[in-house]
Parts: sequence; structure tokens; C-alpha cells
Amino acid sequence: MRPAPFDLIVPDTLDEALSVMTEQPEQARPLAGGQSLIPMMNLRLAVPETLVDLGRVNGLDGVELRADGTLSIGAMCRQATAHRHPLVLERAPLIAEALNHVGHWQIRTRGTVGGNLAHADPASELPAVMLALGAVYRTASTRRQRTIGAADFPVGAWSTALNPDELLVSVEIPPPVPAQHDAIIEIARVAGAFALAGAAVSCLFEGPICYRCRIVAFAAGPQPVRLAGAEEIATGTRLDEATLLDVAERVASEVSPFGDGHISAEQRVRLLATVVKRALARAGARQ
Amino acid sequence: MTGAGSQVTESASRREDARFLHGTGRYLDDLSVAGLHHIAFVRSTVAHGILHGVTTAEAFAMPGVTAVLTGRDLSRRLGHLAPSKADGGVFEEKLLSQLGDSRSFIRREARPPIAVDRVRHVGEIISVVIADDPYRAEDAAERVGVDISELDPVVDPGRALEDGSPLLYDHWPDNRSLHLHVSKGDIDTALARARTVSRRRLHSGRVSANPIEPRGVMAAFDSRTGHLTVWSSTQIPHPVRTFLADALGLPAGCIRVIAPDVGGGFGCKAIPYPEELLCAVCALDHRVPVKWVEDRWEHFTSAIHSRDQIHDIEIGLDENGRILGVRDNFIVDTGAANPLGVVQPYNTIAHLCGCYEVPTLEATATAVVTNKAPLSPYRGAGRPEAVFAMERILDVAARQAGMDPFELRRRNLIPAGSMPYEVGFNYRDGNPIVYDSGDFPACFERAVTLAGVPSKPTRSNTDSRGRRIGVGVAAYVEGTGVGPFEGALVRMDETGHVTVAVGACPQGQGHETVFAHLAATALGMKPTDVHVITGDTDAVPYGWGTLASRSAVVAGSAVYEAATDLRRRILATVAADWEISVDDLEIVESSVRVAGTPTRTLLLNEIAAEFSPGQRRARTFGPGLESVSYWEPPTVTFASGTHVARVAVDTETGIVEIIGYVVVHDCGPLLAPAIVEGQITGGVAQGIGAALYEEIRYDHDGQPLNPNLMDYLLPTSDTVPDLVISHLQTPSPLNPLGIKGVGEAGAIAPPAAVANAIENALEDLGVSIDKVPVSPGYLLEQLAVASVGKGSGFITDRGGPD
Amino acid sequence: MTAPETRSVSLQVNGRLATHRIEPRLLLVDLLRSLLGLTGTHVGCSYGVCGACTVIVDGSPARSCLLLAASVDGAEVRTVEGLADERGRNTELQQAFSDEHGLQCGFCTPGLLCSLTAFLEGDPNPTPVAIDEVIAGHLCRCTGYSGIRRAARRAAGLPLTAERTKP
Repeated sequence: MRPAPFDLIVPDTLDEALSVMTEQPEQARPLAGGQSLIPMMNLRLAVPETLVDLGRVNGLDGVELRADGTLSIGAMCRQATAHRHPLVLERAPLIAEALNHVGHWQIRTRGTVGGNLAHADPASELPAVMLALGAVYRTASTRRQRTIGAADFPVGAWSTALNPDELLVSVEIPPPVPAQHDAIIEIARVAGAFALAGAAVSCLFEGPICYRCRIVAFAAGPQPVRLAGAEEIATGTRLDEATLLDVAERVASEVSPFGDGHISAEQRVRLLATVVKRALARAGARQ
Repeated sequence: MTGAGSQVTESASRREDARFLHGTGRYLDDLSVAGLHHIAFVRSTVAHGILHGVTTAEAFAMPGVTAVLTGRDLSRRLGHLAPSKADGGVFEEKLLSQLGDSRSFIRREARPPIAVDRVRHVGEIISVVIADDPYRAEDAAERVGVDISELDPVVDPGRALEDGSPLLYDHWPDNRSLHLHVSKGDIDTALARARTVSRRRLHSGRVSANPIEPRGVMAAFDSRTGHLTVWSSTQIPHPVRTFLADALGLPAGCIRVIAPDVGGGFGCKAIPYPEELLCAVCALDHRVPVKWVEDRWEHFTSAIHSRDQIHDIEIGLDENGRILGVRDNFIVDTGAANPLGVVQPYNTIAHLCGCYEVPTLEATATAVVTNKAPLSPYRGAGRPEAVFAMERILDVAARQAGMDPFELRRRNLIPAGSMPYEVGFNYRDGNPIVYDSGDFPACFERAVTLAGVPSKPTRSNTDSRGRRIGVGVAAYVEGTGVGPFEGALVRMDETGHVTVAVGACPQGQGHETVFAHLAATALGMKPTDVHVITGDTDAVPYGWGTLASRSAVVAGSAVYEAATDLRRRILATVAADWEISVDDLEIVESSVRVAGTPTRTLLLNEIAAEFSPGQRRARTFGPGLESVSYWEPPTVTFASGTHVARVAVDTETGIVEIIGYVVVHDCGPLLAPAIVEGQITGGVAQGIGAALYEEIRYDHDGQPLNPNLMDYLLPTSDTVPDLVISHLQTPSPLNPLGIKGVGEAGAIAPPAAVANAIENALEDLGVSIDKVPVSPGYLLEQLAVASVGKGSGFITDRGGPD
Repeated sequence: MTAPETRSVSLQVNGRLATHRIEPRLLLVDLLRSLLGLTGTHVGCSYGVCGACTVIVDGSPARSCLLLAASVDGAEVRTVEGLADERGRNTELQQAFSDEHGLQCGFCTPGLLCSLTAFLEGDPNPTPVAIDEVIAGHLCRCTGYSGIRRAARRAAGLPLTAERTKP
């Protein structure tokens, strides 16, 4: 229950970090907050040859508002910082709400937003929230900088679009629009346990009518998934009870989740329908 | 002085607290000795197989490695693990001879402490790596090569019993390790004449104790003195010493076993383990002190599991709702070994009738070996399983008979006037089961009242979140304070201070506080002048340990008896001096005086000084002021109680929340109320774990599916409500303090009470809860089954927005 | 096999500077326990779930089993040994744990004390729900949590029994 040996590199700048990633794309593994990677190393399920500790890289942990109203959260921003950050609470309260469910406070003090996103756990909240918010991931390598849409960043369970020499730099959340109400619901058996099923929704209202929504299910398959059919049913409604039942029914045909030791695949479908329904109800109640 | 049943301390603060709160407690992994080496075990990742060979050269070549050992290296040195004499063994022969039933038997598996040519569960030890650093020991352990060819695994206990099942032990005719059959009265006639007979198959899932401190062992051999010292995170230092002496062929007097501060045990540290023996062998043979600390995977795969009983139970009621008879046939899946033999299965049988008059009974236990980690008692030790079977079948029977389940119980509770009540067969210590004290109806009614259960409960109501509310009850009895004995030594030194040493070995129960108070009260001293030693075989010659709800009763009585004896001897010498009757003397504030007249006093330290060899009192009365008691209880004393659980059930998600929990119990007079309530609360939390969250699962290949704390869920703070606890205090006639044990009580009733509450919440849907834990998966499945039975789709309540 | 690379790290631990040459893989918890002899910090699971190893790093609670000692070079660390004042007197929280029987075997206690100390220093007037969320980040197998909740409420000046509502 202790890590195997590795080389440790602690760069001070992003350029330094990227150079290492370029030089050792196969061996080097970035270490952010370590709250997922170190457990795997302690269990010797992960045995990296080289760890690149990003904890001292300047300028990767900021939360800032760009001129165009975009909220930028640095990859190394601690989850606990984002959780209480005034800009996050004002511009993207769904992120703060989701962070309630990410581990525990004692984990969030070290865990980072970027580390969580790059870990790409199928049951993870933040990738789903980013998809619901239409966020964009900014990445860098020595070769280039690029942006990746939230739908394209996770490409499978624990797998992302990042190339081996590439690092996540920040996540960019578009400005909220008036009468935008978001919500997240997840079902977990005890505090801090992995979600059995979860849904993050972002709804735009005009009067009582939800005129656009994004519905994202997580713990629903290898990566979070937008439920276009459910969105279509919800759009243009008051998110009333009858609509929500229709939405829930549609969810069942849009997800094909896995079963595990806790619940079967069929039961998970049912839970996903339930969380989508409840998340929409919660968002609707917020207007 | 302490009369029977006096409370010894009102304060919640314990003398143990200071070191635990300041980080100066000393647990196993906190200990070190000069030159300490570290052990990593290589364990089987295969459930069942032939071990052809183990290659060690590469591991041995790793930096810092002292030795890499295999079963073949050690097989001549070590025999098989002897059947444990801890608890099970001492009573076993007597019990089996008494059962007088030709069908009853027990087979003892002969299992080496380290696999030699066969592995029988994932987690079994295959190789021992000794290195100078724990990181390096782990590095080397990864380089040990293991050659195993897999055998068909035996996983399902039912299939293990079928003809043609692969066998765990080739020389056995089948996979049964134990069969017990107990009956009283004519059950067939009773059930034939019953108005209703109700039947269920009920399963208590397989659980793991998971103290937050895992197991651990350190061993050092002193070549100067020839003494072996073994420190172990154990509940039973004395039995471990006996085990090591037998296995190593050493005089017990050359072995000292010390339990330092122990970070929780709950039964999983109450058997001697292979790791204790292997660490001792390494220290002896390689002349280096060694330490091993269990990691959490090892805990899940090699520390004992518990529960895992499948009951086929039936109950017959007459037209007035009186119980006519109970027949229960159950299987225990013991995994690869059952170190304590009859203890868990027989406890289940002995506690099956619970608080009720059951005129006829037939109970049959069959233990089955499978390719899983061994099984042994964990907090409750067979009783939660008995209560789950009995209290669930009572609810089923009530529904079938059209009665209120509370009312059904009222009609069958043993009246207070019937105490002492003979159940009609023997306890596993060979004595008749006699409920010595208690008032079951009073306990029950107080619990019902505190829980606010209306006389005509309105069932299936919902809360503001659309969840269904249900209420469930379960009552229990518990034989506590089991023998064979516990040892206590009370010594007053030449400065007038007292040392108490006990064979009991705490894991947070507050022994130091309670036993210091008991001795101090008997001796008229301040508790702060009493020093308490626990968990050291050199401090008291014979001892047993802290398990089985026994220490306050058995060790407490031993301390009380030894201290009282010492008091008598002190008073006798003063009475002789003053030419006065002993009865006219008292000890107050560390002074002997004539009762009520503080004018003539003699300080205890002055008296004690004169007991040094050669001094005045020593010449007359013999040197030293020391008294030893090995208190042997006549038999167990029965604690009892009633729990009422109130739950909220979300039928859309299968999530259950416990929203209220009432405990009314009777452990006799409370020595330390805060400690008693702490034991109850902690026990209930573990019971809630068993009811809703905890289950060790294996796949068809015998691979554990959730051997970690991410997937095996322990109750967290949000899952355990604040309890309502009330105490009945009917004294036991069986010990000088009138007390009954309470360590396990809290864990016994929750699975039954919670399952009953859930079924109550879903009563109109016809959902049956036949298994714990009631996971969301299981509950959703049962909801689906019920709805299929009713010919509709999924049953779904309109769950309101969360 | 070459000798493992080592590096120097310096930490302020309970107000004292500690400098050691260590392997990169050394976990903070092993540095505290093995090199500094601060064995009050315990290991229960090694993967961050149980919380027994929780210490205070730069004012915030953190699992010391999930931190490389090298990653926190220069940090200020407080452990259970450093909570009491110089004369060893209990903090209010420690006293409340004792008064409310918030501990039994004591193994999980140091982690809880560190979490709750950091929490109450950051929020001297918390809600009972916020306290419960902090406690939920720790596993205790002995107490059933009631005593811990009472102790934390007492230290925060709240009534000992509180209605607990869930989000």
C-alpha cells in the first residue's frame, strides 16, 4: 500500500512541464492534486516511471473572468477553492453544487478541478457539469495549444482526448444567460461514495417556459452523455409533472449503462430516469 | 464500598482519553525496536488451486531483503494450525457430547499457516518477505513468482453441499464442517395443529469487521534471555501465547504477548492468526525483530468474515396468535475455515427463541466450507442472524394471521414473573439456558412508547419528499459474560498505590477507567491512585481476553473479587492491631478508620510499607499485598432489549434512510453510563451497516468483488441517526456486581428492525425483505418482483422533487 | 540496481522546521510517523477513504496518505500532537471529545480532530449540517458518530442535539 519507485520532476513553469511531457511522452504522468492517482499508486495499480508534479507551476490555479464574460478555471485550482469562489458561485453555481458531491472536503482541499476532469471517471460529476454548461477545455503541449469541446474531452472511461505530451490548462465556462437555472442530482449510498446515477441539467427559461435545456447523465456509461431526446421533450414546456414523466420514459431509451456490484444495468436505467426527472424539477423550482 | 450494582463513574471522560486526544496512544504500528525489519506477505490471488512452486530468487536479490520464505521452507518447522482453544474449543467437546444426537458433528480443517501445496482462498499466505523497510518489502513481494494451477472453486454454499461438488479438503467426504441439531418438544405435531404456518428463506449477508486500525504484529527474540516477545493488535493475548507456545514448541513462560492500544476489534482480532505465528518464526529463525501491518485488502481477504447464514425458518401460530413451534434449518458459509467451531452457529441456535415463549423448537445448523476467507464471530456472534430470522418470521406470521406485528409479540413475550426462565436446552458452555433476569414486556412497551408507535399504526404514510415511512421492531436476548474465566491481579505496592492487571484486553471499551474505579471503590482510594495494566501476558498469569460482551461481567467481577479480598486482608491486620472487629472498620480516602469515627486512622501507605518482606506486618501476615482472582462465571447472564427503527424508503431509487431509532435495553446496573451508551451506539451503527450497506461479495471464480472501502461501504455519519436510548436495570443474580454484558448488544437487532421497517413501509405493495443488507439493488429487485406478482410494471411512487 | 534518487524537503511541522533527504515516493504520513516519530497520525486504508491520516496542511485538512512528502516541501503541517497548547492542555474541541465520549479506541480520533480544528478555525459559527459534512469525511467504527457530533457541536457552541437535514 505504498507507491513503487518513480522519478519526480517538479517544474515551476508550464513550459518546463510541457518539455518533460514532450521528452517522455510514454513515461511521464502528470500529478495534479493526487487524490485519484496516489491511491492507485499506493495500490500499485498505477506504476508511473516519471511523475510530473504540477503543484508548483505558476499560473495554473487561477479563477478569472475573461473580457467576454467567460469564466476560466485553471486546471490546478483546488476543488475546495472553486467550491467557495465568488466568481464560480456567481457565474457557474452548478459547479459549486456539483462539488458538494466530489469526495469530501478533506479530499477537495487537495483535489483539483483539472485533475478531476482529466481523470475522467465515469461516475464523476464535473465532466458532466462541463458538458451541461457547454464548457471548453484548453490544453497545451510544446507543439500547440488547442481547445476541446466538453463533449469531446472524455473519450471513454478514464480516458480523454489529451495526447500523451499534452496537459489540460483550464476549463472555460461560457457566460450565464438571464433566467438560466441549473441543477445536479445524484444518488449515492453513503456520503462521498461513487454515484450510482447522476444528472446535471442546465435550463434556460422565458417566463415559465424552458426554451432550451441541456440534460447530461453520468455514471451512465463510459463517459457523460447528453440526452437529446429527453432535451427535445423538455424543451418548450413548463417542466411540469406530466412532462417530467415523459422525459423519464425517454431517458430509458437513450442510455445503455453498465451494471456493477451495486445495481444492475436495468436498475441503473431506472435510476438515471429518476435523477433526470428530479434534476429538471429542481432547476424548474429555481426560477 | 461498592455494593452490588453501584455505578462507578458518572463522568463520560475516561483516563484513556488524554493519550488518544494528544496522539500519544501507542498502537501496533507505532511501536518499534532497534533493528526492526518489515514483513510483506505474498498472498494467493487464486481462490482454489494446487500450488506447484514459489520462486524467490528475484525477490531475494532486491535491495534491503533479508529473507523470502515459502510454505515448503517452513512446513517442517510448523505443523498445522491447531484448532483454537480460544472460546470455541474449550466448550466444544462438552457441548457435542451433551447434544447426544448422532447427526451432530464437527470436522476440524487442518490448515497450514502458510500454503504448502494448496490454496483455498484469495488472500491465503504463500510467501513471507522480510526487508529493512516497508516500501522495499512491498517492492520485493511483487517479484515473488507463484505457480498455481486452478481447481474448480467452491463458492455457493448450497452448491457446495451437492453431490459432486469439488471438495476443499480432499480427505473429507463432503464440504460440511459442522452439523448441529437441537430440539425440544414435538415440532411436527405443533406445526400440524397450528392455525397458520409461515415460512421464509432469510439470508444474513457476509460482513467484515473492519476496525479502522487493521491487524498487525511485531515480534522480537532476545537471545540473551531466550524470550520471545510478540506484540499483536489482538483481543486475546493469553490465548495467542498458548497458541504460539504449542505451535513453536516453546515453554509458554518464554513467550510474552503484549497488546498495545488496539484500534477496534469487534471479534476479528479474537482468534490467533497465522500472521502471529509467522512473524514469531521469522523473529526466532532469522534473529531480526520484524513487524507486519495489515493493509485494507489483506483485511478484506484474510481477516475473518462473519454472519453469512441462510435460514429456512417456519413458525406455527395458534388461533390466539400464540407461538406453537419454530423450525429453523440454516447453513453457515464458513469460507475456508471456521476457527471458532461451534461458537457462531450454536449461538444462533441458542438465541433463536429470543424474548418469546416457544414451546417447541427444532434447529439445525450446517456449516459449509467454501473458497472464501475464514469465518468467525463478529460483534453479535450468531445472534444478529438468529434475531433476523426470528423477528422477520414474526412479522411474516403476523401479516399472514392478520395481526398487528406489535400485538403478536405482546402475546408471546415471556412475562417478567417467569424469571428466571428456562428455555429448555443447553447453552454452548454446557449449562441449561436460563434467562436469569430481565423484564421483556416492560422493555418492549417502553421502546414502543419512546418510538411513538401508535396502537393502531397508520402504515405506508409518506414524508414531504414522497418517501414511504415504515416502522419496525426487533427484540433480542444475549447470553453475556461467557466463561471460562477471566483473571485479575490487584497489588498494593510499598507506597500504598495499587496496580490492577487483567487478562481482559480492551479495544476502546474504557477498561482502565472502569477497573480503576472498581478497585478504588473497594479499597477506599482515589481512582487516580490505581494503575491498570491490560493486554500483557506477563502482568497476570492467566487470562482470556475482551470479546463476547464479557469483560465488565467477568473481568469486572474478578477485579471486584480480588480488590475485595485485598481490602479484607488490610482490614484484618488493622483489626488485629486495634483489637477490634473487621466489621467495624472502613477505608475512606486511603485511610483505615473505625467506621464513622475519623479520630483513629491509619494511612494505607503506612500499612503497605509494613508489608515489605521483613517488616512488621509482613512477619505476621506474610509479605506483600497482592490478590489474584480467576473469576469463573457459573454460566452466561442474559441481557435483553427492544429496538424500534423508523425508515424512509425512496421507491424510485431503492435508497433507505433511517430517520429514527430507539433502543431500550437491560444490561443490569450501569457501571459507567456513558461507556454503556457508547457501546450501544457503536453497535447500532454496525448493525445499520449490516442492515443496509455491508456485504462481502464473491464472483463465481471465488474472486472478492469489493475488497476495499470504496465498494464495501461502512456506515458514515450521515447514515447513523442520533439514537434514543433508555436503560432498564434489572440486576443479574449471577455475579457480585449484578451486571450483564453490553458490548455486542447494539449490533444484534438492527438488521431485523430495519428490514421489518422497510417491509412495513412497502406493505401494501407486497414487497418482502428476505435478505440483509437491503441495498438499492436488492430493494429495487424486490419491488420489481412484487410488481410482477401484481401483474403491473414497475411500482413507482410519485417521488416528489428531491 | 541503482540507489534511488533522494531529495531534500523541509516542512514546518507543529511549528518546528524538519528537513530530511527522502525518496520521491515517501508519503507524507510516513515522513511524519517514521522520520519525525509523530505516530499520532494513523493509517487506516492508504487510499483516502477512512480519514484516519488526516492532518492540517497550510490550514486545510488533507489526507497524509495521499500526499507525497516531496509535493508539500515548504508547507506548514499540523498534526494531532500540535493541537494542544505548549503546556499540553486540551483545546476546547479535545475537551469536548472527552466530555461527550466522542472517542472509544482512539484510532480515528486524530484525523477527526485535525479536520474539525481546521474547520472551526475557518468557520467559528458553523451550522450543524456543515459540521456533519466534515464528520462524514471520516470513518469511525466504534462510536456510531453520535458522541463525535455532540463534541463538535459543543466546541462550536451549538446545542448538543440538532435536527439534521440532508441536502
